[in-house]
Amino acid sequence: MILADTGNFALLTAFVFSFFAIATSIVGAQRRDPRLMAVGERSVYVVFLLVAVAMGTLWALILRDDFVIEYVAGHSNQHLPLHYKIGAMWSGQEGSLLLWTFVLAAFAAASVFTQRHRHNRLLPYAIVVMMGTAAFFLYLNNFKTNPFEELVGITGSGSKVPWSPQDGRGLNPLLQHWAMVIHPPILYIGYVGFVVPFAFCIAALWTRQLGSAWVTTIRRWTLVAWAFLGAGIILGGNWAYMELGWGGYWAWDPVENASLMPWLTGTAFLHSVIVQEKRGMLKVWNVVLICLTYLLSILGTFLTRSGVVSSVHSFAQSNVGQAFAIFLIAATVGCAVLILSRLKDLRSESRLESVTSRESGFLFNNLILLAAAFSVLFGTVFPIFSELITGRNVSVGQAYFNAVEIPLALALLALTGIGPLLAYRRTSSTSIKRNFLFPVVFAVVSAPLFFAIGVREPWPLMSLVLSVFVTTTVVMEFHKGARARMRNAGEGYLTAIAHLTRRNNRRYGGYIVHLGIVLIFVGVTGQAFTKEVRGVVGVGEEFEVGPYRLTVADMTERENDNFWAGRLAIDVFQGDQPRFRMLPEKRFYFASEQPSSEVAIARSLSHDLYVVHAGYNEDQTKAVVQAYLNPLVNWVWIGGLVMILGTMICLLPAPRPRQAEEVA
Amino acid sequence: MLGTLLITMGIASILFVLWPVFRGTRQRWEYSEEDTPLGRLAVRREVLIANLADLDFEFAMGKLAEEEYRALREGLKRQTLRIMEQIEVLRGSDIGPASSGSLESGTCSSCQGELPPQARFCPSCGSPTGRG
Repeated sequence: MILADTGNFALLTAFVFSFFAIATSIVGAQRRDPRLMAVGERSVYVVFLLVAVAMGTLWALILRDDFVIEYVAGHSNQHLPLHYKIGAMWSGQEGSLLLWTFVLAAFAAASVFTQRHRHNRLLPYAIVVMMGTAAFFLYLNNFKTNPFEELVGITGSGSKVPWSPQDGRGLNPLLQHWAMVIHPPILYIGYVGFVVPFAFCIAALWTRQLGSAWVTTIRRWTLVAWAFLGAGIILGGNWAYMELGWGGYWAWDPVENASLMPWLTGTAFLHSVIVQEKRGMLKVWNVVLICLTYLLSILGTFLTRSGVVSSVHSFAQSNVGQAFAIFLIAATVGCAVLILSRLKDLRSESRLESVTSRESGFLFNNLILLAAAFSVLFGTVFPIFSELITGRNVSVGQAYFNAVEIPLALALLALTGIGPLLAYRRTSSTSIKRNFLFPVVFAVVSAPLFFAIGVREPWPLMSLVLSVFVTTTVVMEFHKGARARMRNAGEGYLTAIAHLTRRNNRRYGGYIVHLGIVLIFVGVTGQAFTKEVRGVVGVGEEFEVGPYRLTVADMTERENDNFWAGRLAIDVFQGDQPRFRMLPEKRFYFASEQPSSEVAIARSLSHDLYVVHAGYNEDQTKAVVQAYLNPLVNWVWIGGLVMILGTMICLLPAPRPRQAEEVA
Repeated sequence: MLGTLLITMGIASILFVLWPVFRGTRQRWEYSEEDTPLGRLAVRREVLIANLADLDFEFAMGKLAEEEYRALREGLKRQTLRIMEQIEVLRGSDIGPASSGSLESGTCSSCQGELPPQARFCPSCGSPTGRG
């Protein structure tokens, strides 16, 4: 009771302080009163601390098994392991929306703290935007999805009293996985992190300070948000792969699409903002992209939280759907009006001089990314409109997404290689021939080699050939840069590469990110060659998948406080050689009364052997085993790590001016 | 016990937030360099110089043909010189150095727009402010 009241008090006080921050920041900025502006900034810190208290309180309630709290009873149980109790915090709607608010408040406090002595003309207005968003989410936390609601029972006299069940219903078995403990916070840092660039963009539009200051300010914030969102998406895919037991990691599910859309527009922004910095172009485009990214982040949360995609009726019944819809419409209209009213201030300082220029490469890249984002959006919201118009909820399915997104993705991959080979302003045909020669030769030579090893389908073949093309361009960029440094600075090859990367960290970090993208494409391409075999096998029986022979050596059971498990011991042979033993499980969780499959995966860089214990035959004497051979799949995760490494290099502080003056 | 804790939490928050009202703050209302034409030109000059360095490096990498490099460099150099000339004109005008401008904000005599401290030109209409 005491803890729940503390949580409620903290949430309500934070809600009040978010409005106080808005009011004092606006009045402070209008009157140019540093004291009032400082009050606004301190209010942001207080909102953060209070939301942190609310988070801590909910955690304490979960750890204490306080089942009188409805959220705790619904998402945890006594025997749930500690790390899953930590993850239970964001396993339901109330907790995950509180996490949203917490991450938002943390970002707001961090951006205020780091920017308080810089750009203080923008900061008050940025606070208004960040605290406006926080106020909306705190409204939901307080009045729509309060995580501190208590369970009540009715006494014989009809009066309501707090009621606590003996045990909670437990955490959804699918969420009982290490990736689910860290995936939501990482993904939310990505989603919510885009609020900071959006806030400074709106502040710049509001104050007409549309030069380079706001762009410089938000560069790192955008990169951080983008990297976390990307890492969150990859981690979500990894969780799906290890936990859902269908052999894949991406199914164009609305929840997956919701996170992909802002990542795509964020990627477009990260590229086009370079053109604004260097050439003073694409200013309208950039503010539109950052607004779109913010709106898609909110839309993604709306789509996943309102239940609107699964059914329009569940949207009508959802207690947050309508609030989200109103907020989203208001934010969209607000952004549109503000951008339209500032068009004069957003005029380009230069013009596009040639199609064969880096600028046009960036522009094409942006158009494709935007087309990809909107086609994903269309496919995601299609069921809503089909239900509204025809009364039937029809989803477009994977076929639509694959048909539309694969060509767009390959065009994007091609541009990843083409862009760096073009110069700013214009590139002559001589330079084009010279720069494209090696990458094109390598790509063309690779095509028959891939064909010879069995890659015969057009899309996979094209994907691998383009991957060779892009890899060659990246390697050449490093090589040519190192050679230039060796000539100019007299450095050794490796030293030259290290210095090159350090002195031009944004450019070369970006190239490493491109390499990560290539590796992800290679991994995804492997999916085209997946083999799947289903066997109903008893002890001593065997079946084959790809080069492997799988023999069931033993069928055992085990049990602990949390679940019962039927375990298979499967010996894997390659030819007559024994290779390894795999232990897939079929589990039944007591608290939630739900079954779950624990897959067994034998990983290698060339392929994964992925085995699922799918259940038993009718007389329970044999096990149903689903086995997959997934070529190249681990390159998806390796690519994700390389992307993070590249982003970290991009985030390194700029070299000192004296260093920067040296020839790069 | 709970009541005391919550009241303490509330009062501490209010005192922390309102502290600058009672004790003042070291923060000042600052203007960015983009508030003045000179500042905007200086930013533009830095960008152009960085672009020149990038162009030189791309040429050193062998990504540009000599003729193309010369033409692009000439264009960038012309732009940079034009900006530097404009900076010189502003600096050399009878308005005096930026550091000698008024430390107080005010109003432009031409357009009545707000003037930042030390501004020698109005950020709205570009008219000289007569400070110096």
